[in-house]
Amino acid sequence: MSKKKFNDLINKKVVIADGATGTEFIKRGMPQGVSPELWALENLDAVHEIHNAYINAGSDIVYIPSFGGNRIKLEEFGLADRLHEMNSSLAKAVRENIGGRALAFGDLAPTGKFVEPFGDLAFEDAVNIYKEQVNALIDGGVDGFAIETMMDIQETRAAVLAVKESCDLPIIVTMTFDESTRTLTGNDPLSALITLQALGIDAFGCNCSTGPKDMIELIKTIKPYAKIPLLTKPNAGMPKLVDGETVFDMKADEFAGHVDELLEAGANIIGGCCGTTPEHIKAQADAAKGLKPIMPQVTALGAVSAPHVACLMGRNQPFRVIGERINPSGKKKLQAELREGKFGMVRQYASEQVAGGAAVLDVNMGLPGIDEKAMMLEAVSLLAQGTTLPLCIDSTDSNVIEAALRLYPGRALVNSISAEKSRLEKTLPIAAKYGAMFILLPLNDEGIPETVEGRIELTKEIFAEAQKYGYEREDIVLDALIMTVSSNQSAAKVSLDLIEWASREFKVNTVCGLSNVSFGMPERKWINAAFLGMALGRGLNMAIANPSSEILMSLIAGGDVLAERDRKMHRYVEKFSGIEQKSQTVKKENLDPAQRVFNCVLEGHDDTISDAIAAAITAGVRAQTLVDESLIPAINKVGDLYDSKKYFLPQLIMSADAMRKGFEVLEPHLSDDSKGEQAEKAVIVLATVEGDIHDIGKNIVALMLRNYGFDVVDLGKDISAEKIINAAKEHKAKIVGLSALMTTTMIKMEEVVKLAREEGLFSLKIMIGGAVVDQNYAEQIGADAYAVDAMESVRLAKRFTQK
Amino acid sequence: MGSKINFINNIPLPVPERKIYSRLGHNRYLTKMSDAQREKVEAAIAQGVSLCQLRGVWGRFEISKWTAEQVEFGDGNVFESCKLAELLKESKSLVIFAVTAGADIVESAAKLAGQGDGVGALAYDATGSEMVDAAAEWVQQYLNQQFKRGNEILTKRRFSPGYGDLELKNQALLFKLLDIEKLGVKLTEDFLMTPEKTVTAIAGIQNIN
Ligand code: B12
Repeated sequence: MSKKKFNDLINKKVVIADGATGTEFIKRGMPQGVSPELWALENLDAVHEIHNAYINAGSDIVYIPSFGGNRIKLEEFGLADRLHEMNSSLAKAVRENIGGRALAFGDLAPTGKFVEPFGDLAFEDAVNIYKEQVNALIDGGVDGFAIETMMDIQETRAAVLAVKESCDLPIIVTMTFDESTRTLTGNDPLSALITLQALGIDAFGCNCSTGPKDMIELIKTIKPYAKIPLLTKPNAGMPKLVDGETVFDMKADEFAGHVDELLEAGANIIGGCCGTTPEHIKAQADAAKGLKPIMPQVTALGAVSAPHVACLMGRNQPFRVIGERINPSGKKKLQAELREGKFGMVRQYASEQVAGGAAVLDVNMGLPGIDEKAMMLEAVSLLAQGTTLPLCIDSTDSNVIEAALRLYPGRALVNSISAEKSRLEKTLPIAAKYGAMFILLPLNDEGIPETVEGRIELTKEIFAEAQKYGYEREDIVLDALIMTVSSNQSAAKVSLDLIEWASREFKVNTVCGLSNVSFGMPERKWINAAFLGMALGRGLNMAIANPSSEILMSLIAGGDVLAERDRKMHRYVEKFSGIEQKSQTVKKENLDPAQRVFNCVLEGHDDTISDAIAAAITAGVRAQTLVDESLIPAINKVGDLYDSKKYFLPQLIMSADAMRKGFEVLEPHLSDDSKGEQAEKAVIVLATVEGDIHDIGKNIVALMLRNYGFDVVDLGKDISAEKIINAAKEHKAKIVGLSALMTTTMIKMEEVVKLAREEGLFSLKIMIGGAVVDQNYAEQIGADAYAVDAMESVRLAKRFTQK
Repeated sequence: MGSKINFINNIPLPVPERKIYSRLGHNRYLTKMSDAQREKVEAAIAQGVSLCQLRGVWGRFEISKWTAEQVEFGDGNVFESCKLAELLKESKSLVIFAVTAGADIVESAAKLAGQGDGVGALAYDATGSEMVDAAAEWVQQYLNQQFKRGNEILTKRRFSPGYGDLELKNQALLFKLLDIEKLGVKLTEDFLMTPEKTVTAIAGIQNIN
C-alpha cells in the first residue's frame, strides 16, 4: 500500500487497528517460555482465527505476529537462522488469510538491547538488524509496518530508518509511555513525535503501559504539534491485583466508553493492547462508527528535539538563543583539548550554556588537523546523553553533517545551507532525509550580496530548492548575515531590512550571529545590545550568541514581554524575582565587614572568607570579636537552620568548611590566651570497624568534628579492634568513634568496647553510629553513646570534652 | 527463557535528581539554597552522574516448592524467609537481579573525602546510591515490559538479602547463580559487596489473568 493510499484511508474514517495477540495465543494453548513467532508459525490456524475475529470486530489493520522476529530476540530461542523463513512465511500466510479484508502490517518491536549513544549496540548494527527482518517481511508481503511498544527513541529511529531505506510503505510508530508520560529511557511524547515525524513516519502514538484514560491526556498534549495522524492502543486498564491474581479487568463497554474522548483528543487510529480482546475492539469500532476523527492541525512545525526535551520555534514562541561556544575557532584552550581527543571543555561549555538559558547548542568541530567526523560523532554522543538541549550541527562538510544527523537521537538544526553549489547538491538532500531544520544563508559561490534585494533573491532560490524536498517555511531559519559596522556602517541596515522582510513578509524564523556586528569596535557589548534591540523590533526571533552574557539575556527577556512572546510575563518575572534580594545582600555586605564574615559562614563561602576577614581586620575589627560575634553565632545559626531542615547536609558542610577556613586565617591574630585554648584540642579516633567498607558516614563525621575544632585521627575502614585501641592509646584520645553499616559488621563494635575496658581505658568515651545501630545497641554493648548523624556527633563530642 | 543469565551492559536511565537531593536531606518545602550553593551541589551531582556506569544482570528461575517459611527454586536452591515467601505467594517463577554503579563513583567519592571536599564526597555518594537504586527500579520495569508479551508481570515490590528475615548470607547464593562477579563486583567475608554502590534483589513473576 502506498503512503498516499494510507493517508486517504485516514482521511475517510476513524481507522481501527487490532487488539492483543499475546493473550489470545495463550488462550489457544501457547505454553510459557516458547518463541511466540515460532508458535504462531506452527499454529497458523490460531493466528487466522484471531485475525478473523479482529477483522469481524471491525479492524482495518491487523499486525502480523512478528513482534520478536528480529535476530536478537530469535537468538534467545536459537532460531536466528530461521529468521527469513519465519518472518516471510508469517507475512505470506497472514496476507493470504486476510485476502484484502484488512491491511496486514509487519510488526517490529524492541530488540531488548540498547542502542548507542545510550547502550552498547552500535547504531548501524541496530539498523541492519531491523533491515534483515524488514526485508524478510517484505518478501512475504506486507501493507506497511507497525513499530510498536518502543521504549527508546534511538532504537525507534533505527527501526524507522531500516524501513525507510528498504521500501516506501507506510510506517506507524507507537512508543510505550508510563503514567508519568515518559518511556523507560525517559523519552517524552512531544520530543519523540518531533523527531519521528521529521524522519517521515506516517502515524505516531502510544501503546501498552497505560489504559485509555492516560492516553487521552497524552494525545491531547501532542495533537497541536502533529503533522501526522495519531494512534493509540491502550491496555484494558491498569493491571490490578484481584484475589491475589493480576488482571487487566476493564470490560469492553468501559473500554469503548473512552472512544469519544480519545477521538476528541485527536486520535485517528485506535486499537488495543494488553488485556484487550475482539470484544473490546468490536465495542470500540461500534463506538467510533459515524464519528469524525480530527485531522492533523498543522502542516509544518518549527521545532527541534533532543531525547528528553523539545524546543518549538516561531513567532509566538520565546526568543531562542543558540549557544555558540562549542566551536574551536579562536579558542586556543579548546583547540588544544580537542587535539588531544578530550571533551572536558565541551561538556563544561554545554552545561554553562544550558544554565545560561540557551535553547539549542551549536556544535562545531572544524579544526585543521583533527578528524572532524569522528570528533563530531563523539561530541554528538556525549551531548545527546549529557545535556538536555537539542543540537545545531555546524559544519561545512556534508559528510560530517550526514554522520551527525544519522546518529543524533533527535531532530537537529543544520548550520547551514546556502546557495553554494555543494550545499544545495549535497547538504540539502541529507538534511531532508533526516528531516532536520536548517539555517539558510543567503549567499552563493560568488559571495554575499551587498543589497537586501540580492539576499532576498538568494533566499527565495534556496527555499524553492528546499521545497522540492518537502521543506516548509517553518522548517527554515534565515541567517541575516550581519557584517561588522566598523568596515561598513550601513551593514547593519541591510541585515535589519532583511530580518524585517523575512519575518513579516516571507514568514520564516530569523537568526543572526549577534557579535559579528561589533567586530573591531571598542566596548562591543553596547553595539551588540543596540543591534539586538533594533533587530527585535524588526522581528528577529533567534540569535547565535553566548548565553552567559547577562545584558543580552536580559534584553531578550524584556523583548519577549514587549513582543507578547512571554504571555502574562511569567518568564520575565521568574528571571528577575530574587534580583532585588541579591542587591540588598550586596549592600549589606558593603556596609559592615563583620557582617560580611558572618554571611560567609552562613552561606558557606570558603573561597571569600579570607578576604572578608582581611577586610574586617583592616577596618579595625578585633580578631576575637570576629570569632565571638561573627563565626560562632553564624555557625550556631547554621546548626539551627539544619535542625529545622531549612539547610541540608551539603550546606551544613559548606558552612563548617568556611568556618574552619576562617579560624585558620584568624589564628595568627588571636591573643595567646585564646590560642592556648585552641592548642589543647581534644583527640578523637574514628574508624569503620573490621569487615566493613562503608565509610562515607564516618568521613562526614570526621569532617564535621574537625571543623568544630577537634583533632581527629581517622584510621579509615575495615579496622581491627586492636588497631583502634592501640591508636587511642598512642594519641591519648578522649573519644573513640565507631561506624558500621550492616548487621554482619556491627557486632565488631562490641569487641572494641570490650578490648578498651580490658586495657583499662575506663575514661575513654566510645560513641557509635551507622545505619543499623541505635541507642539500644549502644547500651547493649556498653558504648557510651550513639549519634544519629554528624551534627549529633559534634554535640556528643562537645559534651564529652567539656571541663 | 530457562534460567539463562542476561547481562545489561549499560542501563539508560533518566537522572533521579529529586531523589538524590532527598538522600542528601533536602526538603522540597523547607530547604532553601543560595545560587552559589545550588551551583556547587548541582555541579557535583552532574559529575557524579557521569562517573556512574550502571550495569546489571538478571536471571529467571522456576519456583519448585513454596511454604510460608521458605521457597525452593531452580535446581534445589532455597530462600528461608517468611517475608519473601509472602511476597512470592502467587508466583510460579522468580527473577533475581543485581545492578551496580561501578567502581569509579565509589573511588572518586573516597578521593574527594581524602582531599577534604566533604560536599563533593557526599554528593557523589548520594548520586551513586540513588543511581543504583533507580537502576534496580528500572530493571524491574524493563523486565515487566519483556514479560508482558508472555502475559506475565512482576510483583510490585522487590526483596533483598539483608532485609527483614532474609539473611545477608544469601548474597553468596545470588553471586553463584548470577555470576555477579562478571559485573566487577566482589563479595566480602561479611557479605558486603564492593564496589559499594551495588544492589541485589528478588521479585516474583505472576501470570496475568
Ligand atoms: C543508601 C543505602 C544503600 C545504597 C548505598 C550503600 C552504600 N554502602 O554505599 C545502596 C542502594 C547501594 C545500598 C545497598 C545495599 N543495602 Co543499603 N542502605 C542504604 C540506606 C538507605 C542509607 C545508608 C547511607 O548511605 N546513608 C548515608 C550516609 C552518609 O549515612 P551513614 O553512613 O548512615 O552515616 C551517618 C550516620 O549513620 C552517622 N554515623 C555514621 N557513622 C558514624 C560513626 C560515628 C562514630 C558516629 C557518631 C556517627 C556515625 O553519621 C553519618 C552522617 O550523618 C540504609 C538505611 C538507612 N536509613 O541508613 C540502607 C541499609 C544500610 N542497606 C541495607 C541493605 C540490606 C543493603 C543491601 C545488602 C541490599 C542488597 N541485598 O543489595 C545492599 C548492600 C550493599 C553492599 N555494598 O554490600 C540494610 C542493612 C541491614 C543489614 N542487615 O545489615 C539497611 C539498614 C536498610 C534496611 N533498613 O534494611 N544501600
